Amino acid sequence: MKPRSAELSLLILAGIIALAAFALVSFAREAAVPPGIAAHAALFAAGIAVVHVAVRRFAPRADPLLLPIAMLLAAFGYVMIRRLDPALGGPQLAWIGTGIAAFTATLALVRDHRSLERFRYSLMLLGIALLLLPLAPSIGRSVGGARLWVRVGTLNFQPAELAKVILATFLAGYLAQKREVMTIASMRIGPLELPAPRHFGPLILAWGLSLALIVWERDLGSSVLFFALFVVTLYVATARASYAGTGLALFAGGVWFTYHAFGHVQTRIAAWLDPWSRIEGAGFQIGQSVWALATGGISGTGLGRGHPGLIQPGRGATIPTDFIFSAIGEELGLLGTTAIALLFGLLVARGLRIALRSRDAFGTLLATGLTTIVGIQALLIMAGVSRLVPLTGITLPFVAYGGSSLLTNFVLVGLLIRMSDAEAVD
Amino acid sequence: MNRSIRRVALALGLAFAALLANLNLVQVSRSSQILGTETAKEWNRRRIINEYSTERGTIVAGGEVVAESRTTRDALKYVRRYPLGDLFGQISGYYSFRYGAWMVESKYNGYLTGDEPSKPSDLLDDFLGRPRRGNTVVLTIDPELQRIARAALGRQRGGVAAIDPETGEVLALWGNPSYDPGPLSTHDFARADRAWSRLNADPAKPLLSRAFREHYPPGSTFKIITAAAALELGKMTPATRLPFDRALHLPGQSKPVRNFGGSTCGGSVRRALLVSCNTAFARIGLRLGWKKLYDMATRFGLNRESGLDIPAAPSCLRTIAGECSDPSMPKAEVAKSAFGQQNVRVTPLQMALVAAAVQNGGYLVRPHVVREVQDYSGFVVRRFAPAREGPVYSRKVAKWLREMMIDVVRFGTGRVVGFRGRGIGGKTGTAQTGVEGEAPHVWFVAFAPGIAVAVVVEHGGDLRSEATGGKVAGPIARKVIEAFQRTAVR
Repeated sequence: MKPRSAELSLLILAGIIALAAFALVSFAREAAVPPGIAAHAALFAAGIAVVHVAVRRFAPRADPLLLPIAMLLAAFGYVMIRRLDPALGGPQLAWIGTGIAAFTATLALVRDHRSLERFRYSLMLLGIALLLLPLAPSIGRSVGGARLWVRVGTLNFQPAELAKVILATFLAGYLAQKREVMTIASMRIGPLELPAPRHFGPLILAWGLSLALIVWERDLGSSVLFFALFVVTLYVATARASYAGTGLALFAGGVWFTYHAFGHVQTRIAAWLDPWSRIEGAGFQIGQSVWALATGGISGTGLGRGHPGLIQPGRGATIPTDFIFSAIGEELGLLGTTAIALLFGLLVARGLRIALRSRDAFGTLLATGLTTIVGIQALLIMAGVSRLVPLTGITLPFVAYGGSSLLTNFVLVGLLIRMSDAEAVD
Repeated sequence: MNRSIRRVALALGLAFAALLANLNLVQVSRSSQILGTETAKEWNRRRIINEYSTERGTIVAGGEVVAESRTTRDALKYVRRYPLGDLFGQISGYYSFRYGAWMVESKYNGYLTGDEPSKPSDLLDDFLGRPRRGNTVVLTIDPELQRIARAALGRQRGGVAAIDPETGEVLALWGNPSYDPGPLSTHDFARADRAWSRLNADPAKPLLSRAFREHYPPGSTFKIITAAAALELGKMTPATRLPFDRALHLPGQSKPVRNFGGSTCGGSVRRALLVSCNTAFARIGLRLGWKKLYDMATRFGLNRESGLDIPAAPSCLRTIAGECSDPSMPKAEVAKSAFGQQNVRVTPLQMALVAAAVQNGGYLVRPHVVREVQDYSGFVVRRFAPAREGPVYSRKVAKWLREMMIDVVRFGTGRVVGFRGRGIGGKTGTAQTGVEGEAPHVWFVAFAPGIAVAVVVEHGGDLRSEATGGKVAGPIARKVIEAFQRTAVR
């Protein structure tokens, strides 16, 4: 089967799955066929048509799996969000539409990914500016103790989301150029062999600044995510385990420092280690999340038949943004959570495949960086709500409620598709 | 760069594997432990929402409905009704959204919700999302006998316990005052809150059953256990002679032990039991020592959990602050304990078990209020088999003690009760409350073929006469036994 026909079939399958889920929620809650089913079928078909035409037009030889995975996650996420809070259904649908537009625009505007390499320093500045934005007094807003929102007019935006893709592009561009010189050690600090500070400087600067800002803005999840992005890109660029080791050591040091310096980090760790004795306070969210998952069992309570509303996160966090994976776990059980996790696993596998097959170093590093962002972000929140790691307030890509996250991830997939088209041989 | 990418892929792959393993643990392998903790029971509201959305099983007794679920129009689909009101309140307990479940509603919750016993069809029902149906819990208590006990005790505070001496099935278990669990279980939460605070503020403590959750000094009814210890462990016979005393001075005590009405008594062990002679039993206690007395009391079920299938208070030879305490005690204390004073504390249910043991040849039966569990079609899915331990003494002692208690009813302090018929034995008791000038609690413990009864009436007595136990508590026991005999013949 031709890649585009395969992709279309998979997209239609994704649409059918999401539509079936939509109907099931209505059967369970109102015991009726949902009145909006035809409108939704039309909307889903329109979305499929737009992305299909866009890929056929701008990237005809691209990987056929990335887009159906992203669309399935987004459509299913929408159904789940609408089931959790009907008032959020409309906005999420609008954001998915915006995401599809951004995806199409990315494909249309970025005809060759190598053109981005030139803008690496402008991108660095833009990324840092975006990270700084929430600290600006007039437009920055705090939600739930973390200051990472920007409000312009009626529109709320989380700039750190977009900064992730921009900084990944900067990193890939910078390291593609400097990787040769960086592998030559010219400086020794104890057992570590490091390149000359001249080459390392801007990297450390960008890294340190972004981390400091995130600690400032109290966004733990993004902090971990940026660490992972830096360490992985650096490791892949230089192929030196000492960089990965240094990165991990710095990460451990950062964890130690933040643990002792910030009360909110200590609270998070304590709630992770033992939520049960803190169930009236810090342990409530994670405890309720684990109970939701445990209630799900193998096959779940059925869509619309569980009580995920009992998670009641409070303090700025909500179920559609932070605990949607637990809600899925309660209503669709281990089967549902495994399916979501495997979709992300597949997305990561396809992303790294693009990195492996890229003909230029920039493409390899960019694909690795982008894949790392989406993969680590999904892992962090899925492992967080199931109490494998401490809970951080980041969103589940494509699935969770939130415009900035959706928009950024659609752009991210657009870039991956652009690169996979460039490296296809026929 | 490709080797590093493959290593990154491997690391991410391992992370996904760890995630999937953890999801498996949380959602499947360890889910029942996670949901079964005390914290989860209190804080995971899914549990109670789900319970209220299934039709909870009925509790029945002798063909009458004690508790049943009715559909409602509010968010909680079913509400609990208690048609018999206070008659079974202290046994069934309540099933309240606000205050949780209690007694049979709590102890047999798994059966009532239908989670127990697990059936192969449960899996299919869960898969199809079909609600489980609760099972019917059948009580051993005869509602007619329970009504007789309620009427006989009337407005007097106290407790009545009647059991089947062969099986340990509880036939009646009435404590006055009792309470109606209905208002606690209503979905009108304001009303439930009012009922709860009223019941908790009531000085008469209606939530605490006087039949099996309240302690009383047993008075002379404890002489049954002392006599058993004397015959079995003390190398005495019913004919063993004891000195006649008017008062007995104990080491380290300013007040001597006196007999009821200031009389002089003594003679044989049999005679001492018949007239309920305190000085004679104090002497028996001194001869036995605390170890033998403690040993026999423990054989009769004291100094440990009652064994009842709903929460009951333990009875103890030596009670300090409501709990069984270190059994070793000085001589004077042993002497006073031997006739049921000092720190001996027992429940009426415990004394019914003692009477049952005398009736059945010395076996301590395990008391229980639930006979069996039936599914919705009436098929018995679980039957609670009788259990007993013992014998607590030899067959010779069993014969002696049984005859001595029959003689108490025929010729002794129990004669005033006026029992007619063969094989009925008993023992009166008058227990000082320890408060000067307060009327003592009175007891009557009795057995007849097929039934053992213990009755306590709070402050029902008169210290000058041991016979008040027979006059006040005796007729209550007699009414219960006669009602039982009438229905047994039928």
